[in-house]
Amino acid sequence: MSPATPAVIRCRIAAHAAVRAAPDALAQWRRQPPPLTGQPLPTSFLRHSDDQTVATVAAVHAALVRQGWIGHSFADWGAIAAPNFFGRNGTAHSVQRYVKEGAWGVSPHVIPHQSLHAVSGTISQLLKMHGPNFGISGGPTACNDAFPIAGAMLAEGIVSGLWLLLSGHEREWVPVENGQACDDPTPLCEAVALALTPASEADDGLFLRIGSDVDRTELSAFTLSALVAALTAADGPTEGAWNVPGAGWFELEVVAQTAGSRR
Amino acid sequence: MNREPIYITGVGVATALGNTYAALAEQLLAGRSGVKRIDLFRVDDHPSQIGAAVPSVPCPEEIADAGFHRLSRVEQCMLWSSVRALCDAGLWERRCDLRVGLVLGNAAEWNSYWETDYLEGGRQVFQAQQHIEPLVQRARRRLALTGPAVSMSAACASGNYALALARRWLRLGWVDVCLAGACDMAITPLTLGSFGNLRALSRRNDDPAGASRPFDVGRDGFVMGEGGALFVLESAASARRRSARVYAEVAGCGASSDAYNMVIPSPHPEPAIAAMRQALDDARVNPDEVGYVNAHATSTPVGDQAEARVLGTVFGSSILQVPVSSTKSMTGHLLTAAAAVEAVACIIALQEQALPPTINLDHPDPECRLLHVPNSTQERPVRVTVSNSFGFGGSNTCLVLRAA
Repeated sequence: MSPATPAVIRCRIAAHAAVRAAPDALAQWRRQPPPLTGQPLPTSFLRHSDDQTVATVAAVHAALVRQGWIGHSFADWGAIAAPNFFGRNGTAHSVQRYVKEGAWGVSPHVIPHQSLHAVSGTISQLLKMHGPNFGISGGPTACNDAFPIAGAMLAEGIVSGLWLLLSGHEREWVPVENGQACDDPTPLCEAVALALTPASEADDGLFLRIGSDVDRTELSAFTLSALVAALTAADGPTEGAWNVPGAGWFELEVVAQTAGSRR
Repeated sequence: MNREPIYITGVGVATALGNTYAALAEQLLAGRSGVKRIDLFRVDDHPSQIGAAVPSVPCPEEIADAGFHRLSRVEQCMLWSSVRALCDAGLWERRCDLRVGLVLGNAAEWNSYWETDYLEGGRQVFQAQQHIEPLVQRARRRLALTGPAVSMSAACASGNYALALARRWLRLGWVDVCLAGACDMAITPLTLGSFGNLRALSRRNDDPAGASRPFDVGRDGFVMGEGGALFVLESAASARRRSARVYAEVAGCGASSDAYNMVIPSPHPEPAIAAMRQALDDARVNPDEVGYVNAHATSTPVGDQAEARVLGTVFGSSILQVPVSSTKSMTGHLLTAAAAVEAVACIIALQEQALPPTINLDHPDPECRLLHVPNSTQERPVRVTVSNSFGFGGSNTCLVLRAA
């Protein structure tokens, strides 16, 4: 078999933001969706969306505002989204309703808004992106799968930029069965939006390096919360490297402007 | 990235029409329908009561396991198809010596699991699940694979995305061999109910075998199917070195998004046209070299017409020289697994030099003016096939396969 040396993909994080949202913040964004294009969105736009879709819209909006990109064209960009345990609340609600009411109780909104590609599709629609869009995994470690996918897409050059959207909860969020009390505060919903573009050696700023070796156990196992913490550190994003079990590894690299070297 | 040719050297399938490549080929070329009244659960109160369900998935003897049939149906499908593909490629015994990756198109692993569990009296959806290993990681461990393993979904377009990603990983040198494809055992009460209440499904309950009728004036919606297909992909150099049997080259991949609406099909064909042109350009194929198009055509009134317009634009004046069929007329619409199983249909066309038909095409819609393959197989030389898969929510993909 081919002895090819596995490539390490380096890409630039041209914009980024992370949000950690409590239920009341999500409810507010659901009522008044963040205006990704600068124009108000219909108040019903996110009405049937999963919480992680809502949080991701807010994260993308924050990234756009920080970068001064409101109104920017993303026509030839793509979007991939890896939400953890996506659609769980919707499934819990739907299946209970099905048992009570039969087929007629199943909402038609389940398919468009609870499907795994709903997050990427929503962002793609809002930013009018005509590049690829799809969802990733949907399980407890969904974000892990995103990195070898994102790296490969950028390496091929099929898009001029790629929104990498990661979401979940700070700890597993378990729905409550109808009629039962919940005594556990709802964990915060986390969403990270990374705008990735191809990198050149002359660039400075924030970068991702992505590799395929699945055995780099010397690195810490990736968690979304760790990435949120690295991106939102008080003095600016901090470097880190993580193993994504079964899917490879990635590194957050910061290159300082003045020295052109890593700090 | 290099443009090294990537070949398909193994195929594994599980469908309503059979659980082997040979069985599926025989049924498709015989023009048989896999659509019946659904008997997996009670459907009396569903608007659509028909589908192409997989009756059962055999346990691969290579991983003989008494607990196989207690696994979820999608896991059974995935393991069966993966093992069969690796065996078909002659790589089962050698898999531990290679970096074998896995890219699986799958949309509803967790939601289907929670739904099935709840309806059987369980409460998993209301209990901690963080400790449960995802399907692809379980498969990676169980099949002793050492490359990266991921799952992804773009609705109906998933299988084409999986093949494209596997090709990229091979060209990056991230894997020596890659399993890629998609599985979806989606005929469940919630999925059937949700699509039914969206009015997307055929309600021709009294004529199951006649219900999926792409391009026909009498079409009234799609019919759900289920199953999956996994392929072994490797570089042409690798395949030649070990004298592997080659099914086809993954010659071209194209993808785009409508960015219009999560439910309503876009009235603007440009993104779908762009996906097709991107795939043809990637394959370095002119439209007049295409010998067969496996259309996405799901048997919906709007979608089939929209695709006919897209094909008309891409092929221009030669549109009536390019045979087009929709094998969804026989398999139903396998949702996330549709593109993967339709890639098998294209491979069948290349291998057998015969084009599977669109069955139930009694009265072609005049708005779908194409060179149809109506009702029976046509023998025809073909070296290049195109397979369109346009996902619900506006994800457009196109796959070009070429005889190697």
